Amino acid sequence: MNTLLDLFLTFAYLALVSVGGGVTILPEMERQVVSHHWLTHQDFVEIFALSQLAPGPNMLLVFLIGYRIASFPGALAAGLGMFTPTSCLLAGLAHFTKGAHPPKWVEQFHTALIPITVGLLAAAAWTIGQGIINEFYQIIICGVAALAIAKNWAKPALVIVLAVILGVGKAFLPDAAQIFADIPTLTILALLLSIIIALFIFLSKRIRNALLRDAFEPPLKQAMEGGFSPLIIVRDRPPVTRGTIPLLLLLLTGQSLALLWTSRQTISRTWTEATTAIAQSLQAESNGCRVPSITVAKDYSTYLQVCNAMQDVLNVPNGRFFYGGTMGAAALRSENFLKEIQLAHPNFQLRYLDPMSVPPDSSTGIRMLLNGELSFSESQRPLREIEHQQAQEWGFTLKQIPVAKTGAAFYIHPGINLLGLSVEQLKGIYMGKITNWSELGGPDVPIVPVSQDIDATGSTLSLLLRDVPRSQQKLADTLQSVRDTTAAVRKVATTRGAIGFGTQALVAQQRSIRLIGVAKGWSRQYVQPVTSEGQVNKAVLADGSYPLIQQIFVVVRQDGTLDEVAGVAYANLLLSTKGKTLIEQAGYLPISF
Amino acid sequence: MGKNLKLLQLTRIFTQVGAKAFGGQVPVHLWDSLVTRGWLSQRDYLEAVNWSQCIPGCNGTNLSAYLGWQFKGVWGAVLATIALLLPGMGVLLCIATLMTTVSQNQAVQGVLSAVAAATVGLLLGITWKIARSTLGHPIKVFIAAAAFLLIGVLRVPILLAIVVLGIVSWYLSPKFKQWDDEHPA
Repeated sequence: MNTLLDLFLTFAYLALVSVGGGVTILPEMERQVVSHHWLTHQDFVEIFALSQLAPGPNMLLVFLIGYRIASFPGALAAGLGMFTPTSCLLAGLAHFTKGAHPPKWVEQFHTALIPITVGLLAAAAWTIGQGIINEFYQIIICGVAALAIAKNWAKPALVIVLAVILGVGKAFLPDAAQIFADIPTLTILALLLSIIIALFIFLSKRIRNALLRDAFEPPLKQAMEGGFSPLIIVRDRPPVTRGTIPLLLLLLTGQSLALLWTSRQTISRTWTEATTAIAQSLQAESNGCRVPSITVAKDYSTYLQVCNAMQDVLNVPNGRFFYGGTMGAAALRSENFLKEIQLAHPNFQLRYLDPMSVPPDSSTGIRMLLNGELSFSESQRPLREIEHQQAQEWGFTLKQIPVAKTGAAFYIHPGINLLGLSVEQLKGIYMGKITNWSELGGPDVPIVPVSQDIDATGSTLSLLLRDVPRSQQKLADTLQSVRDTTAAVRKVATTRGAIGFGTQALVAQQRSIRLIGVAKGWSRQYVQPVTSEGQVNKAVLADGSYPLIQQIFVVVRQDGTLDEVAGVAYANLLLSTKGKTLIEQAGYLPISF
Repeated sequence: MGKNLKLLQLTRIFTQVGAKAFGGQVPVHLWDSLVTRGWLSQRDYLEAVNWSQCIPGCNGTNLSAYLGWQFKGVWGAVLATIALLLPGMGVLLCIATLMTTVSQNQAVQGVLSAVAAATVGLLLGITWKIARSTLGHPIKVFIAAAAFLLIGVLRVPILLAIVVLGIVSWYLSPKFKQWDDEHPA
């Protein structure tokens, strides 16, 4: 939707609803501007405050609003919307009524609206006041200003000017105590203050005399000030009868249409959300699927379903989708999995995309997801703040759906006979602080740390080094870099004194290397990643005793495209009972919602 | 409709008012320029103000459009309205550019917070003045309070609130009139 057109229509609507003068429309203006995500409440109030510094009609502030939103064209659009329709209306009335006063019912209506106008003015004060008054001296200024206007001590212009002076003064004199200790400054201040007060009294009286002449009758005086009170009825001319009814009908129709137009998005969105949420939820439940309490997608059209069979999963899109990500989820991409998915949903085709030039890991997968190369990705670590920010910059959000639990397993060259290492020792090895196996009770062999990631940004090392400040996360100089887990296993198997890591599910069955247990902190209670039969040790994942537990996430790009639907569908397929069975067979611990 | 006013003079009058009238005081300043100088009779001017306030829209521009048309037709209405808005627009433009360049300045922040507090005070003062002079009958106070709650606190769509409360107020207006007659201010 064109922002300029939207601006024009919104302000046209506001002008047409402003019965009782300009300021009464402030709460509604704030509501419209904030709900359109054009300005924050704070911005709006600041702009209103600024607009009081300028002469002319109150509603000049719409120019400032429009300028802030869309520069000069925005200011023009907002101003045209605010001033043109009603001006045309009044000019038309001037032509047709030729000086007669409004029909009785119009004036009666206007009089009937007075109490409402009062309420609206109070609402305007309330709307502006919220969030802007948060210091004591502001309350004092507010109170004095209110009194000054209510008791006719000064005109609005003067009050604003004084506020400006006070504001500048306060900024330059923050420390009151210091001032009172300094006599010369105090004298100058007292002098300034008395000059200001004298000007105040002198000028305000002059202004009052200039504006409110004694020749005015009281009702006229009241009518002139503020511009909100009801008007004098001059009764010696016949009221006009032709032309006002059609004009009024036009007015009301215009208002209703404008109102519907400006709230169309809210109306359609609420309607869609409500109906799809209910419909889909009912449908899923009739299919035997349970809908867990966390929904996933922005538009409620796709959400998590825990079904029995993969066939029961709804909203599986047709088409070919590329995915990729961490090697740790490779077992989830096995033939078994893909075959089952194909059986259940033959038109949902998945293709793994290998990033040729860079190692395949969680970060690469998320990067490829962000720039659209993948429909969804798999990650072995939670999303990072910077990735969320990047998504936000590009206008969508990222969502991670946990589907399985696994652990980061460490292994060594079979030549070293060690039962396990503690987390602190592992940290020491990978940061280069421990360099020889003899320091750990082993033979005098230099340690060769092998890593799939060179800067500790990968899922395992970042988990291992999470307590270390980022600036100090420097890896050992003797680090041997490899492309992926397969290469790591090969390297460790053939290099004396080497140590490496990899996802539990991938390395548990490897016989060429020796898997070691991991203990928390500095302790020696090693928790083994594999059972004595050489199977993945799921019990230690379930009870949380393994110190380096990781979750496999399906990362989805919440942008309303089919990719989002595909990612959520994939996650749902994995979360089904059948999917869980396959996950378990692959060596992971499935997640239950 | 009053004396014959040249287009240029009309524009000049409205420009001057646009530069003098702070805080929505356009009708007052326009009175000085038009009625006291004799271009328009008091009665005619009050009629114009009456129309401007009864019909929705900004008071100032309603007045400029109405009077502009009466004096000089289409051109009168257009030029009078533009002339009224122009000085304020100029000042706002300066303020806007100033704000973007020195927005972090401490003095500017101080001014903003003080002026914001003052404007809230102004609104409260005006509310009090009008309320004191127009709200006699207790139900009127109730209607005002209802309008404040619905629109200010609960953020109900304004049209809905006005229609509902307007109907209530209209229905009760004979009673109000009776009360006002019995209790002269």
